[in-house]
Amino acid sequence: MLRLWRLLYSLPLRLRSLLHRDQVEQELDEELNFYLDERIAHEIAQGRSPGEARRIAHQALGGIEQRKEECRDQRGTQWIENFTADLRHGLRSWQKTPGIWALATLTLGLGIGANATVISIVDKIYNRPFAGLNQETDRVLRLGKASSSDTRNTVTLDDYLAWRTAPIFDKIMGYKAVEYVMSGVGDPERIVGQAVSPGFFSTLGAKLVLGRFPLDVEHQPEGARVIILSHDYWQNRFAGSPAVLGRTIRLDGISFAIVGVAAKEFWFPSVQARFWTPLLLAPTPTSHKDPVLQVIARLKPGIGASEAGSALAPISLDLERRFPDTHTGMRTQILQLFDGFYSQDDRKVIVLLYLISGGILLIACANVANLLMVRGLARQREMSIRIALGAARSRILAQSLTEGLLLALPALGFSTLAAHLSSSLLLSQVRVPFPVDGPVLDPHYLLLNGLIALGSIFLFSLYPAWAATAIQGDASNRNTLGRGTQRATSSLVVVQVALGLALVMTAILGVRGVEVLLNLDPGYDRSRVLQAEFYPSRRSEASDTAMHQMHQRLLDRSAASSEFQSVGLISPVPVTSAGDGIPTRISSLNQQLSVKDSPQAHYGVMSAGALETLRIPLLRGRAFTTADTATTRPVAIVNQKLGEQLFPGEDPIGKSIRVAALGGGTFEIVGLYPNLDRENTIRGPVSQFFVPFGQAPRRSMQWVGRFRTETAGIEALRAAARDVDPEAPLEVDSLTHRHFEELQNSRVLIYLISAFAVLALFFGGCGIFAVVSQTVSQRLPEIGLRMALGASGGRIGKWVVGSGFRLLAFGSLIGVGAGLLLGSLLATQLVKVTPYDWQVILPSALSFVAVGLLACLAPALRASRTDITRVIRQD
Amino acid sequence: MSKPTDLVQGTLDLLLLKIVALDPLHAWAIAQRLKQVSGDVLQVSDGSLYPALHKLEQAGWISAEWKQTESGRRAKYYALTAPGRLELDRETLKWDRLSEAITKVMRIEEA
Repeated sequence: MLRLWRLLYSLPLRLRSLLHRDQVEQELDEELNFYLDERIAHEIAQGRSPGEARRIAHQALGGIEQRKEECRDQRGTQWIENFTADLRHGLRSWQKTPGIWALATLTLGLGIGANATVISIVDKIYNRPFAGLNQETDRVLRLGKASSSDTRNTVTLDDYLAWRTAPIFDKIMGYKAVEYVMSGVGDPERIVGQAVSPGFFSTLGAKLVLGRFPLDVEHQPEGARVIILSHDYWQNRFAGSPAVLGRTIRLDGISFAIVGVAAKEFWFPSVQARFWTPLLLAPTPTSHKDPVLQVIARLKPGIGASEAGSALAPISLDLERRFPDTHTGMRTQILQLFDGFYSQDDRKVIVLLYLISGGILLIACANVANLLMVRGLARQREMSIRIALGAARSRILAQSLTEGLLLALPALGFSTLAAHLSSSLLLSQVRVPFPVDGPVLDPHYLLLNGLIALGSIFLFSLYPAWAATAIQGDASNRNTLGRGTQRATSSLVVVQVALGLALVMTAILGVRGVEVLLNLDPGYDRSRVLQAEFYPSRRSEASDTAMHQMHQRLLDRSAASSEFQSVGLISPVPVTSAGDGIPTRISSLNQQLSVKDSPQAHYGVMSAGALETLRIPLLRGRAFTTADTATTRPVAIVNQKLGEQLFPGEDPIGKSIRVAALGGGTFEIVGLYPNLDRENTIRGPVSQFFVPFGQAPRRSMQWVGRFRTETAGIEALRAAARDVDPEAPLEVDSLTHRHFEELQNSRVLIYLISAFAVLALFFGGCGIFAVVSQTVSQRLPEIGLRMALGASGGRIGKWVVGSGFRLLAFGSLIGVGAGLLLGSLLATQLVKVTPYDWQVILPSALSFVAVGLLACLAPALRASRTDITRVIRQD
Repeated sequence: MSKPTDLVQGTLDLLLLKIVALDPLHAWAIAQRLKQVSGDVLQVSDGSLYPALHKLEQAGWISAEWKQTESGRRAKYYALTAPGRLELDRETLKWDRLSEAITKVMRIEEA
């Protein structure tokens, strides 16, 4: 209180000394003069002569200017005056070296910007995808089941219902993906959504723009069937009309009433979810065999994971007793929310991105440090003089800090702009399974980066000042860096070169890797092939036989079209992420088939014509024909790997296998095909086989056709599909496009790394340039002397280039090592590339050497054209 | 010229506040009044007077005003502010306690 009151008196004074500085100064002068005059008058009155009185008075005051300075120091505004003076001085001194200023600002801005972009995006994509689950994340967990041999994050409805009785959960909810053919509004269409348990929306903190959440009764079989639409789907399909509430749509022929529309920002578990329907909480005799639910729970406050584990143990035992066939040995597994959400490979990408962006910031800081130290040298004379004239050490340091600020603030501004633009661009290119609305750029990271950069600037702009003050007023005139400083700048360049080279190596490796992926011969011919998903409209009512017949009819109709060279049905198409097929245990006929010990293979289903359409060459035997039907002998074609695995050294044709997934049935091998390479996998080929559609049909099959012209092909296929089922939606795409999309994220990653590599090259070049040109100006007298003694300009130039080259060579050596390390991380994302490859190492090293030599060129030229007479006159 | 008694650390502010509390004075008069009231014992050096006055002014304990002297010259007169009055009371109390304590210590009879 008293403080405020005092401020009433002191504040106007301070403002006055800031704003009316001249007047305040004049008053100070007048006041001191008045005092002196009074004192002189006093001394004269004491009987002294005017001269002596004057002398005594001045002596007593002890220097008018000193007293004035002491009074000024009392004002409390002195620091502002000092600061503005420093600012003016700083601006002037940067004006003298605009090149260094621009380079340092650019470097730092790009470095901070690049790092903030990557960290923000990684964080947005990988670390916090679930908007509603971000609060109190330590209490939110995923529940799965584990046996001694495996852990899975999907559970059965019966597991979920049992867990609901546990008293430790605040909330517990489950959900599963469902897909339907939607009809009743415009053209029929396949849509995917989620069947969700009670508590789903409240756990996620979902909001609706229209209507209500599902009622509890709607989770029971006797309740009404209702649906909540996603905001996007509502906008696109229903034109955002509020009249949708109460409307009925048909999903696979069953009527659902629309009761709500989710808010724009709500999505879960992926942006592809176009609707949510209540999950029916009615276990069936087989539901305990069907692990389809994902379960997320929120613990009650004060309950830890270990308490939760012990509370759930008796529930697991009870389930084991009720379902001995499926639940024996199954325990409840508490998983982190994001367990299983991202693969090990994704994690490696994250680590790689962090390393690279951190490296870029490090290089940028090293670069700026270098520039500042080199510049600081030129200022050492100035600082020594100022110290000699009595400047306080603190003032010199404050001055250096102010100059650092003049560098850091524009750099921060520039980096914000750069990061904002680049992160928006990147996010628009990357494919993620959820929306990434809102501000992409996290200001926290920008701030953090800014602090790191500011720190490094201050540190390195202080260094020259500190070095100068350490001399303690020795007004040394020599324009030389101390040995320590020189070593510091040199090692900074080595660090820059090493990190930069590592980045360039990684980038080249990445570019080669994506090239390999794009041009990989997958073992089949994906060009000029259409792939289509055909969804009969009344699927839920249709029997398996009816479904198979519809697929067969689509195949027959399209085969009749002249637009296709060949057509076929296959599941799965090799190009997709699930392209390997369904895993199953198999055995040769003469071995026991056991679910635990038999070898594992993946299998798919294909019709006659599919092999031909995909141009998968048969190594031996025959392809499936229309003669392979349910009434003929079951047959299969196997890939090389499976053939060698089951019948090493023998011809598999004519042998038989038993397949656990197909009821332990026996299939005779009639054909052998080469291993198919799946582009987006790094595991190498799997053991795989196909069985004929005529003998083991699936409800869901993909149609493939080799077209003559793409648009006409699509039209012909649509016409064929309308003939089979006019209400059935059809999704058509070309395999080349599918393949391109599958590789999109890898491509973005490579662009990103390449951009960083270019930055690193640029920074490295700048660093070498700064140090070498510094060496040249520092050694100008020596160079002059050498030339005077007869050294030619060319010889001097070579000597300068050599000094840069030594740093380059040393940095490159370390850089190759670091590049091998980084590259190994990236190699896990790619196939058939390794950093231990001269075609990767050599171009990287050469590019750096080229940039480095280029950076040495200008200083070398300058040195070789040294004017001897000028150098000699200089000192 | 005999050296005046060194002021106890920090007491200069107290003395200055006390002197301007009676009536507004300019710096020279403050120095003279201090010398006179203390019977020539306390004397503030010309060098330390001004920084001290400016410090008290900046702190808001005293305020300054330019006025005519009897001789017709312009001079800066310092006066106590309301918060300065509180500060003076507080400092006086502190001083009383301190001097009393010192007096007690000094009066201990040697056994």
